[in-house]
Amino acid sequence: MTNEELKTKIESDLKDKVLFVAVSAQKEVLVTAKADAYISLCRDLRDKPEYSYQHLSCLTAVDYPKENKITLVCHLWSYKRASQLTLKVDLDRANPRIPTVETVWKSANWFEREVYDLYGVHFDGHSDLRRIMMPEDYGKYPLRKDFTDDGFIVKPN
Amino acid sequence: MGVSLKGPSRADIQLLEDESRIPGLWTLEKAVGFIFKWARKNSLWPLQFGTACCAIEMMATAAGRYDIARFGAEVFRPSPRQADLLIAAGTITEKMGYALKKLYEQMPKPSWVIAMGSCTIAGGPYYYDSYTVVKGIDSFVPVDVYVPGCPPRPESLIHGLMAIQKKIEDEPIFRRRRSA
Repeated sequence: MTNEELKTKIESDLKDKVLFVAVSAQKEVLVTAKADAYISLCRDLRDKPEYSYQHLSCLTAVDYPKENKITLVCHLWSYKRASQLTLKVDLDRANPRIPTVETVWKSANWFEREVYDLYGVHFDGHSDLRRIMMPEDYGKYPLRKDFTDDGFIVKPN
Repeated sequence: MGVSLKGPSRADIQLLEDESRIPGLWTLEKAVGFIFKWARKNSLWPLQFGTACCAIEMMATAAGRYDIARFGAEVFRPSPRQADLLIAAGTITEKMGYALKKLYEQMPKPSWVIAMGSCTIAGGPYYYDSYTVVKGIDSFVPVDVYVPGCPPRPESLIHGLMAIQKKIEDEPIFRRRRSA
């Protein structure tokens, strides 16, 4: 199945769960999910044999302060079909909150802890949502664009 | 001893040093101090504390080609309780800073600290735009010798070690140590 075929298939089969599907210049399929259908979409992508994305290879986030959103980015990989797919979800920046995908892919545990640590996204239902790298009492989210700190020296241009 | 306007000649300095080596002319403190300092400076046991690429150079210094054993400092200890030289080799983040301070405080005194590499001296390449790296470990542990470089070559580290040895020779054996 080529990426174009995959795109049309996702658009027709899962249209009530995705906002839009695109094929990027790097020939990757980008799926933007609806936030409330995120978990069921992840389950479909993992379990349906025509997708079979068994492996979550990366889960991270991007901060867009101008658009007032934080985008969660999941990179999925299918060993069976040797195919990659990028799944995105837009979250409200003031209160970023999303159910965990730890129940779908176990490896999401530490990825989500990292996103929680650096972006402050809360994952509902996560089994162990603590900071993973920064000190436990840090209280800030350093990869947000508006981050400032006393010891943080911005490089002058 | 001849006096000249140019100050003491090299031979005069040598003579002075030779005189000071005659044990009969020494005070007790000086004699005891000599032994203490001799023992201390030739058996510095470094703590095995490498956190980044500087640790590779530290390992090279300990290995055969540069051979830190020539200075009696080859016994890298995995426990702070057995070490008296802290070679902070590598980037120290805020979270690691707590561990470093704890390790320093667990070392029996007198103990010495070498800040090896740009990162431990002032943050190094992580000075700008870094939310984790400590901008110099001297903000929380007292540093005796700074060895600059990114990372410093083994010769530099050995030079730093010799500076520590010189420092041990020059300072009194009691009344150590200031806090940061």
